[in-house]
Amino acid sequence: MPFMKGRAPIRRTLNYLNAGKLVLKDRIKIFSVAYNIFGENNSGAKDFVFWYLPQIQYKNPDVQVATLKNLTPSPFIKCYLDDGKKILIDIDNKSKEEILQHLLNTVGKSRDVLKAEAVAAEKKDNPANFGVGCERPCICEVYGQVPCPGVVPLPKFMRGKYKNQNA
Amino acid sequence: MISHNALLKRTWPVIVQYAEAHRKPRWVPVAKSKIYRIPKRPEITEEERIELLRVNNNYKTQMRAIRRFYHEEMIKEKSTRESSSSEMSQKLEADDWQRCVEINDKWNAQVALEREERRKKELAKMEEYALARMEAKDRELKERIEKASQEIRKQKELSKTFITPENLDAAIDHALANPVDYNFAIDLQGNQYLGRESPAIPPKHKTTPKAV
Repeated sequence: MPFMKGRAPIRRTLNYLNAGKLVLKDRIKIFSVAYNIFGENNSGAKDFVFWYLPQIQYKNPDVQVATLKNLTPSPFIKCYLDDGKKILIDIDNKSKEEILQHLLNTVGKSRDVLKAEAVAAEKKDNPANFGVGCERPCICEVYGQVPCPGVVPLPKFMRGKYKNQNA
Repeated sequence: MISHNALLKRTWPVIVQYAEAHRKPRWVPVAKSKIYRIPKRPEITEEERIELLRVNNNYKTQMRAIRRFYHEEMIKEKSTRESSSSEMSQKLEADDWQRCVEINDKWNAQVALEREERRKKELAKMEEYALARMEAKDRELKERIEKASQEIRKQKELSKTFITPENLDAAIDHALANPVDYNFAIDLQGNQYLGRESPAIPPKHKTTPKAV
């Protein structure tokens, strides 16, 4: 896709995608929107798909996002959970902002949860960290680093016992 | 540590004391005089060996038991702590979800109500439109019928003057009796000037051609 081509190319910019507010709860695995392209009561759903669906997809890479166009008498959102349950959200005759706000209140993660998750993600964010509480307890586990001398003896040229033998 | 040079340049005798490990540095090789020395293996009698083996085995077994005990205890403690916290969080999550579902149900009910109202309004509008159209159609049909009947009446009026086989002879007689001469002149006022075959009529008198 070329950068500034098509309708509302701002939807494909990283800033716009990152600005999405809706992060779905972990138990939601599929997010499907059914809507029609005609009718006054569908305009909100249509705009929602046009403006907010890219953000939702970007923010929820592990969620399948599906749209069902012109297959329904009235627009709705259906979320499928990991335990096989479903939740149906009627979005008939609602504007896209109202729909998004309602989704934030119901299927989206709350602000506190998001903040806590961000903090948790930041801690182990740096892959260079090693030691207690990090992803790896010792740098010697990294490929290409010198193994701990307790596990594998150092090469002889590094050991004083042999290095200074002829000194 | 004080450098060698500083020590040499000193004005007052100083005594520097520091403790060192009393052994050769690790990188110093085996002393020349000890290269071929083979230390004597310790001599242990058979009884002592068996006794030491027993004692050592006992020690190792007991230590292993203690270690395992503490290890298992730690694991148990950890698992209970985790499960309790996860249970708590699960319950919290379920409560939260329940709350969200309730909010959603309320929203859905509200939307359904609004939709019903909208549908009713739309239906009423459609009915009105259909009625208006039907009325217009009726009116048009009526007008057409009216027009047609008028036409029929007019034609009936006219049919009295039609020439039929019954009154054909009479019509011929009438035509022969009243010959019409179209060979006339006309002036700017529309006055006809008959002549030649028909008797001349004074110019002021207007005559119209008779329809046959």
